[in-house]
Amino acid sequence: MKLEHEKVIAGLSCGQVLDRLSDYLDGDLPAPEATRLEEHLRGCDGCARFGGEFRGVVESLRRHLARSQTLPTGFRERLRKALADEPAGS
Amino acid sequence: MLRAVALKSVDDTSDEDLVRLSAQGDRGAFETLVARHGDALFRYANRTCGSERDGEDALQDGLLAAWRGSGTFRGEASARTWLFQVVIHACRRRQRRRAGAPERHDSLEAAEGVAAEQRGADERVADAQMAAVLERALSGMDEEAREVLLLRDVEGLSGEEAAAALGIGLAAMKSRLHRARLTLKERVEETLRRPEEKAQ
Repeated sequence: MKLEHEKVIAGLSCGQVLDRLSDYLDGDLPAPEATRLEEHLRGCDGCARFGGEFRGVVESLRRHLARSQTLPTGFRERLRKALADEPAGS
Repeated sequence: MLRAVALKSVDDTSDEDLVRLSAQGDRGAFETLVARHGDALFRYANRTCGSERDGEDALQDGLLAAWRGSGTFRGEASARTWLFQVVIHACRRRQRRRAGAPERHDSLEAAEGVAAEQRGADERVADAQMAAVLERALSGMDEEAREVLLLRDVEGLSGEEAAAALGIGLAAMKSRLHRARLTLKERVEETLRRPEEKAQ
């Protein structure tokens, strides 16, 4: 991705940093590349701010939505009755 | 092997062996699987289908399909991934059936009130309010983006599990996930920013 006012820091452009943010967040970047990305973030306010907001939104998905809902009351009983009418797995 | 498994408490039995016992007609084993994974599968179905009623129906369709098809489980993916695969297909079938029906997802505009309410009181978004903003942002996204976010970022499936559940390769899943996260960020920010812009 090409961005306006792109900088190249630690051999990575802002667009290259943006493209790698998910892999970085998920721990999927090889260590040397993660180090270069962190170096870019330390030298680039725009990417550091964007990356922080990006991480915040992703983390809030898990924090706010995971385990927030459970099976409705009576669902298991309804399923049990429906299973009784179904043949065993084949 | 299954004879030995049957002697163990069902609580100690692996998900994969529970599926194999289900294939032999053991309803209790299948109900244990539902007890372990039902909440996560329901959250997925509910958020994918856009309403609790449709989510519940899709989940029941999916679980009945899983019960009927338990004999086809080969253990190539984990049982949890397999259950998600079956429920994803059930949700997609239900969505296709409803394709001609009016859109029932809440619009992003509905979240504006949430954002506006909290803005004056406190700059920090309260948990419940942020959850509402996220729910609405998710509900307005396209199916592929919503699916991958729910599996990977909400329910915490690994990259490999999410890719297998969606029936795509790991690289394709990662690319889809990154695009979806960028879109979600944009939508959340747009929702939080909109009331302020209107006031100017």
